[in-house]
Amino acid sequence: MFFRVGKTKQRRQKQDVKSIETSVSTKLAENVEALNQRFASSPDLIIKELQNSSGQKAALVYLENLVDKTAINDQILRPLMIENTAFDPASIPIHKTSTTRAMDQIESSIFIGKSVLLVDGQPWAIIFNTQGWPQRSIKEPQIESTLKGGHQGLVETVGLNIALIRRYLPHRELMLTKTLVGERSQTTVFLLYLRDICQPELVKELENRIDRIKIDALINAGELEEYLEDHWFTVFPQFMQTERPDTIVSQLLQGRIVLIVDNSPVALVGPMNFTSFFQNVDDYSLRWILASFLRFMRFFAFLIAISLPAFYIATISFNYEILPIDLMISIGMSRERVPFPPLLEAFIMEVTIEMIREAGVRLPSPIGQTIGVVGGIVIGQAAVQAGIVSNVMVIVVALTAISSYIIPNYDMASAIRLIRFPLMIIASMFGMVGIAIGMMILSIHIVTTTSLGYPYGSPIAPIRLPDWKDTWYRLPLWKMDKRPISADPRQSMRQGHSRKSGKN
Amino acid sequence: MKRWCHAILVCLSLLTLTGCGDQLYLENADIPLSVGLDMDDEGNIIVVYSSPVFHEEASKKTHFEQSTALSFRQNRKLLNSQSQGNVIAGKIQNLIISKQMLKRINAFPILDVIFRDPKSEINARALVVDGSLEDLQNISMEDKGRLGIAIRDTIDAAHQVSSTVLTRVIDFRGQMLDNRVTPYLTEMRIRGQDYAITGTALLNKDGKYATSLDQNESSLLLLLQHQTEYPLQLPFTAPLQLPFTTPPNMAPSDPTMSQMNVSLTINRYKISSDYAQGRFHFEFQVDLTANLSERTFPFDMKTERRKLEQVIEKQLQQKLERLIAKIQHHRLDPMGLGRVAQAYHYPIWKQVQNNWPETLAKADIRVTPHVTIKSYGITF
Repeated sequence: MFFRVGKTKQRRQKQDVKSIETSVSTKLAENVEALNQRFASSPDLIIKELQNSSGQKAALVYLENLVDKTAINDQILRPLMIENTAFDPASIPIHKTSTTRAMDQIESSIFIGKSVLLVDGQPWAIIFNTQGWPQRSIKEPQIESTLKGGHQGLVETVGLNIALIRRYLPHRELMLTKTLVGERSQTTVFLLYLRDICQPELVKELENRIDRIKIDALINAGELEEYLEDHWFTVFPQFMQTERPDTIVSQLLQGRIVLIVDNSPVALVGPMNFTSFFQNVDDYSLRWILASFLRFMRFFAFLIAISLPAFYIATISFNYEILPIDLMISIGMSRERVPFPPLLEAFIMEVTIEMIREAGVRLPSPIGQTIGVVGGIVIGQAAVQAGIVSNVMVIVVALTAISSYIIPNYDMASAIRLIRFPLMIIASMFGMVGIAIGMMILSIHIVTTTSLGYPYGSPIAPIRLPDWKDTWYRLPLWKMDKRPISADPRQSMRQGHSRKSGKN
Repeated sequence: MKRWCHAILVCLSLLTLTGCGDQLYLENADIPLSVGLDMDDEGNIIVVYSSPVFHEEASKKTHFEQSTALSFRQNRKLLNSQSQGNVIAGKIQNLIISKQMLKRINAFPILDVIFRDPKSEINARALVVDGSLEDLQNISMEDKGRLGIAIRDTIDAAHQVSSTVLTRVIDFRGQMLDNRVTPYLTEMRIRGQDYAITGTALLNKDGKYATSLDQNESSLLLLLQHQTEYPLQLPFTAPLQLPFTTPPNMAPSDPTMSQMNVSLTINRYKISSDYAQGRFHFEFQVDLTANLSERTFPFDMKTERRKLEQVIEKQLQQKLERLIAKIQHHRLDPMGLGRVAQAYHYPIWKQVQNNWPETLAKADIRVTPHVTIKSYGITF
């Protein structure tokens, strides 16, 4: 079996070598014939035959819907056909042109929306940058909406995304490295970093990892993450996926690397650590006391979201001594009607709420609201009245769900929602001891995880006290003259010392 | 692959651990809130308990079980066979001990299982009940809720207005094992369909019932014990010699026209002790702040306040000395003066520690209260 795979690989390489050799012929008819063969089943290929006043023939080749038709009509066809301009790249008013002799380059150029002018009697072709494809306008990011931050989100076109970032950082140290990923899709991936802040080894490591990717097509940035990450067996995201240019810029300034993938409205940021998923752009535009409160609340919500159902199960299966007597009686009364053991009861409710959530995500918003109402009534009222779950369980589930949505990052929130299931099982088996063991395993896991070789548990483990200023709480910005050391920036000072306040 | 095999093996072996064994769902447990201890004529232990009923179909909210055996634990086995669920001792709110039983035997050894089993509740309030424990079932709970919680709340409320002491089971254990103090428990009386906290029951060093204190005496005991959590509520009667004027239509001798109530907080509390001529001398020096909460006679507080303070001081001293005399008469030490003796007169304490209450009975104990009225409200 292994032998066969090796053979096909060899054959493919041979084909590649052969195709590189084909070059543009001097006869226009031959070239058009060759292109027709290459684009055998592409009815959207347009071959526009031209002839200038001196009788010289030419053909303009492009894919109908990938080009900017105004540019084709006004900037290319008009000069050539009406004003009788020469078939020469210098005399055609297109902002970027090039020439080539290779048939393959012509083919790939056509595929990405460029138009190619083949001239009879010439062994080269002119390529015009006339790309223009259906494009979405810039919208507010959907899963990372903010109150005070910018309301522009990334779009599917990589060039536009880079423009959005450059607007925030017009600086020469912002480096962009372009690579192509995907044998068929040839997707452009841009690697962005600030040269004077980011560690060069880190950039090299990431470039190497990208080079090692051998896939057919890259459709989304999320796919790239799985090929680049250090650990495959974990629920925690090791890269941050964001669609906010301001988040990207703030991460760049901390010495992190950003990957922007063409056709994908999210960017990857790495290396990340666990606690940075609890930060939000809004934190920095709120009063620092309020932002600190929000930070505390998020960590508290994290604990609730992973352990509250487990705590409930452990309490009513093993350790009811810890419940106040009045609460115990009311839980006992509502539990009495439930025919299932606590674990099953909790699972029914937790799975139901996950299903409602997932159903809501996929549905268009008018129907999505219906799901919310139906789910709320079914779970909140009918299930309790029918004696399938207890009242307290509904409160536990609702609290857990709300807590998990307080986490600002979607991937981290999903991870947290998943962690509670193993904790629930272990709590139903061993009670409080089980929860303690589960928490220990979780801590060990976070501490041993790395992201691009950097410790994921930083700044908690390893302890990096200076970074705590922006972890558990957020101190005033003038206290944070230095960049966080979690991402190991080369340049530690931001820009000198800031004054304490605007006075003096 | 090898790693996965190991992981699966570990999971499978975890499943067989005994940890899963002691699982008991809340609704399947029978959780006594009140546990009563009594003794029958042959000397068997009677255990009565009341626990909440979770069933919707059941018309009563509380159910009672009763059994008779030679020990607490044997009783539990019997009770388990009578109740629908497994009897759990982890949530007991009150441990009710019958006065009849305490008059006959020392109940402390019977409670051994409570302290031996780490899952049982040691914060339950321990109380002595005057009346048959079977009457517990007859208490009308229609306007009270659940028996265990109702009794607990009554005890706490009575303690807050200084009508009784608050002794938890773990405190009772300390009092029994500490030979510097004798035990004191809340006393409750069941009469017909009702119950009430009557004061404090004092036990002697052998753990048997000695005497009872009424509610006012209980307040005084709390004062001597330096209990500062809640103000002490005490009534006083104004003597006729006081320079006050009565309304003309009321005879000055009318007792309802000479009442006052104060709530006292302890500012300074000091016990000075001495040992001379073969006996101990103790003196309580207590500075108290009084808030006048009720006064049914007219009085000029602005000019004559000190006189009223002196009346209170004098009556307080008399009441306290009467209480101390009662305690000494019954050979008790609920104030814990043994601690003072041990701390300041250790060589003598070493000799007398085994019959400390006897020694204390011969001691000379004095109290000098000093009262300052801080607030007296609207005056007329």
